[in-house]
Amino acid sequence: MSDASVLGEVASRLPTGSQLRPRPLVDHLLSLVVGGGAGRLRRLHLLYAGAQRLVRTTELGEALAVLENHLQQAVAEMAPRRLFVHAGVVGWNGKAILVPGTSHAGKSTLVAALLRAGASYYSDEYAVLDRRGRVHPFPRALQLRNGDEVGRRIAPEELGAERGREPLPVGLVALARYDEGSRWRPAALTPGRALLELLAHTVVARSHPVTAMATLERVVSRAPAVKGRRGEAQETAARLLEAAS
Amino acid sequence: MSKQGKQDGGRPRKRQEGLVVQELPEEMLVYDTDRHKAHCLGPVAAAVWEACNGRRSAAQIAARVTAKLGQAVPVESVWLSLRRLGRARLLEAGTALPAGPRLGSRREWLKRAAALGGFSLSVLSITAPAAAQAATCTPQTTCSGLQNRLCTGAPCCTTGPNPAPPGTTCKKVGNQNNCSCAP
Repeated sequence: MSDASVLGEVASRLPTGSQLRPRPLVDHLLSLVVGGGAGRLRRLHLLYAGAQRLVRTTELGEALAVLENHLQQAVAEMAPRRLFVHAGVVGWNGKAILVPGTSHAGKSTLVAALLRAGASYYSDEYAVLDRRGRVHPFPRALQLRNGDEVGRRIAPEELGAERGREPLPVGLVALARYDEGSRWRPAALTPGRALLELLAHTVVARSHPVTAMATLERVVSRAPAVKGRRGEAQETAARLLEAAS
Repeated sequence: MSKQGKQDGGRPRKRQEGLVVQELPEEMLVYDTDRHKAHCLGPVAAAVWEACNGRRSAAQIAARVTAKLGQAVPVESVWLSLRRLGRARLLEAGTALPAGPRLGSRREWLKRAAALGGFSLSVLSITAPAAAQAATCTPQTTCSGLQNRLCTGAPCCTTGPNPAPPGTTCKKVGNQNNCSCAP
């Protein structure tokens, strides 16, 4: 990093559980060249992964956003003993409820509603699964969007929720796509279809299909899975907690 | 050739190279590492696929599947399953499928499949996501509505109502005031 004054900004965007390691050798090198300056001559902010330039921009915020995204993606792809599935996760009665979904499917909104209803917070981005099919916390702040705005970050405590600490077995997989005006009347999925749905949201599905399928099999063989369109998050959250009780 | 002889003509063989198989109590998941597609085979489709050794006719496959599942599986179900397995490229290339009844339209096939027990014959397929596709993505419409300082840097969504080209991220491009999905 070329400017120590942005160190705090960078540190706030490091992945959950990051630790400082004073080692001279690194596996991956990221370089942030901070630009800026006043007047007519403004230097660009540059971000590199090794020798590859990831972004070249006049906006430091954009460079930091790319950095955060790159780090998160790298962790999800390279974690040796964990499988990352794109899903929101909450804990309820000693089990986890997984809400897989693509971006803008309303995952974070539903997670927030589940937290307000008393569930504990595990993640609004990734279900981090171990080989036994248990979910571990990936508790970054929730990113709630409003219309076309960039998401604002809120801590689960602001919603009156606790953060989950221990790994949990999966108790329910709920594929709930937001559809204004819909009522939550989900259909049950067979284990095979549930596995297919989870695989569609798994980061390393292509690079590690054997591990991914074996891990997901442990999830779907124990937890029921449902799929449907949902309307308001509050109503769906109540129904999901009821189903998982 | 007699009608029966024609129906027994093909001897389908299941593909074995480039596949990862995960068995479930009633279904089977097959991942095609060449095409990065995952297939979920219903109980009959899974049993039919397993029985395709290149030496059995449709009638023989039906008999074997009937014995395995403990329920009568008509040869029609085998035809329908083979047709679906072939489309999913889970049979050896060049395999001659047993000739089935002449059903003209896709609707007729679907009606016949439903009558024979749709789920058990089903072969559901998805394309596995590339790593970046499984990450949070920014819809193209959202991205282009953001001012430069708010570009997310995330991959742009390649699905949905206004899909972006694959491999693009939401970033500032040139001197534009708003972000764009660009490589």
